[in-house]
Amino acid sequence: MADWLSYELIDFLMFAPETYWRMIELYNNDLWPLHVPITLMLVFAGMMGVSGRRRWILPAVFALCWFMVAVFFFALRYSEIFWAAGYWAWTFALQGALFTAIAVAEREKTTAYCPEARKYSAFIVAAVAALPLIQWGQGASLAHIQLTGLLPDPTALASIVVLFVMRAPWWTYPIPLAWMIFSTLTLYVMEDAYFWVTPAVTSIVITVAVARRPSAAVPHQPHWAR
Amino acid sequence: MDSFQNWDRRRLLQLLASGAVSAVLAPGIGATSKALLQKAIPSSGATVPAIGLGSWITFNVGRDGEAIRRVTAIIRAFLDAGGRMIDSSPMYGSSQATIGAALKALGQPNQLIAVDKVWTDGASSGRRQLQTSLERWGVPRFDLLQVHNLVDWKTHLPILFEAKKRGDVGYVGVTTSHGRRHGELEQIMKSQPIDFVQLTYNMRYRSAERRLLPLALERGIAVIVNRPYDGGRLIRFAKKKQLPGWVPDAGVGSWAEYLLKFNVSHPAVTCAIPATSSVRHVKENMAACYGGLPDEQLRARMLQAFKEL
Repeated sequence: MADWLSYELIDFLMFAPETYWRMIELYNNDLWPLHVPITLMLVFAGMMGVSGRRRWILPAVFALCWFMVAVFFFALRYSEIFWAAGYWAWTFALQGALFTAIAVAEREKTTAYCPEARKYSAFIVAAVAALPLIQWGQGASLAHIQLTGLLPDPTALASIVVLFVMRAPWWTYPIPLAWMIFSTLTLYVMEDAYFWVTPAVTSIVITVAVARRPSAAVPHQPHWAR
Repeated sequence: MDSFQNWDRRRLLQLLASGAVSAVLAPGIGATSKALLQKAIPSSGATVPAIGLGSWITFNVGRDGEAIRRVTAIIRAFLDAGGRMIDSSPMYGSSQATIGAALKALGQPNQLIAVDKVWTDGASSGRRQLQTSLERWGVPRFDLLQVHNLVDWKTHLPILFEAKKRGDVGYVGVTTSHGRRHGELEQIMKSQPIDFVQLTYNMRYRSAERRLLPLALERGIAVIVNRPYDGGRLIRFAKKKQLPGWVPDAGVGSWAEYLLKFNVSHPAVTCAIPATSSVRHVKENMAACYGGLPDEQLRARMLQAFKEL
């Protein structure tokens, strides 16, 4: 027990900060131009919103995002420099499975209809764009900008917003929240000046999402009955 | 005046006779200039240069070709300066693969002393891990294999001893770091026929002086010192200060030499393995592998002067 108490956070950092950022840069370079169709897919899914028969599209797209991050980033890239990345790959794949379950459940709810939820399509799209825009504003080079669907931080952040808006069950939150904590601690130990940005943005979007969440779905009404 | 040059002649002759220290003229250096410091491995009498090269974090660069070329230059500079022992572990991410790429680029230098570790639970997992490590390094065998941080040592040590009998490995050891698990390490040193221990010893962490280093001397176990700069903290702190005025006169030209010579001058210490990501720094480190070593009096003075900084 005494041994465990002697550990500091820095003892768990297995790589130099420059190695981490160089990994992000090389990863983005190697995957380009996948960023374009993924971003378009997310914008499309966000615009579909959480309403009506298309309500399943958003969780299905996010399921794909979590699977992609699990494989492309954690399993095939981050694991080269960090042994625990393999466990995160499985964890992210699990979250992808949870989003898949949500999508399947929503697909079966053919009568679900949320008239107010369409207002929040822009909000979901903004959540997807938040971190990349902030990083760009901080002066990050294009190769270092992190996009939803390719890297875990923006994927987790946008997912939390989507889960809130969709009123997803509680068991869909622990993984994205756990990643946010882990990533924040990693950046903190790396003495990154902006380690506080992701948790700050996450807190803000959660607050807004809680305040402005659309009302629960009502049974679908044919247009002539409205 | 305390000086590296004021050797106790009788002590020196005793050390030379025991093979504990030998001065081997490095290529290109004249007979009157500094000689490469080598220390004997007690279990075999073979000697190793007193400064080796660690790979924790610094060589974990993933697939970055630019960084791999930089590491290759570091290893080249290390070997050119007379260095031989390079230490790594499966725990260190891509460090093993980086070393392998560098060794391949350097034409598999034959003066290399390849040191690695087993870091897993279970015998079959250990065997698989060792095979993977060999493939990553691209070497036919390891000169020294250690149980990393004592993980499942009761399983791995017997296997490593068998491998040593077969000639598949030269030496067997165990490692800890940061001053952790010294009690268990002591028990292993007393009960197991290991050749090496690796532990943390530097001007900040000196707890090993109390029991482990004397025990290593008593049991004839070689000692590799990791974290000689405490993960870089000591050298970064020291470099903000001026070297004490008397230090250059005592034959030490830099803080790197100061800190490393303090480490390797302990009679129980065989080799220190500082890690670095810079060619300049590896040359500074290797400068500590030349010339004399401080005696007990000078070591005490160095320690006191450092505490007063």
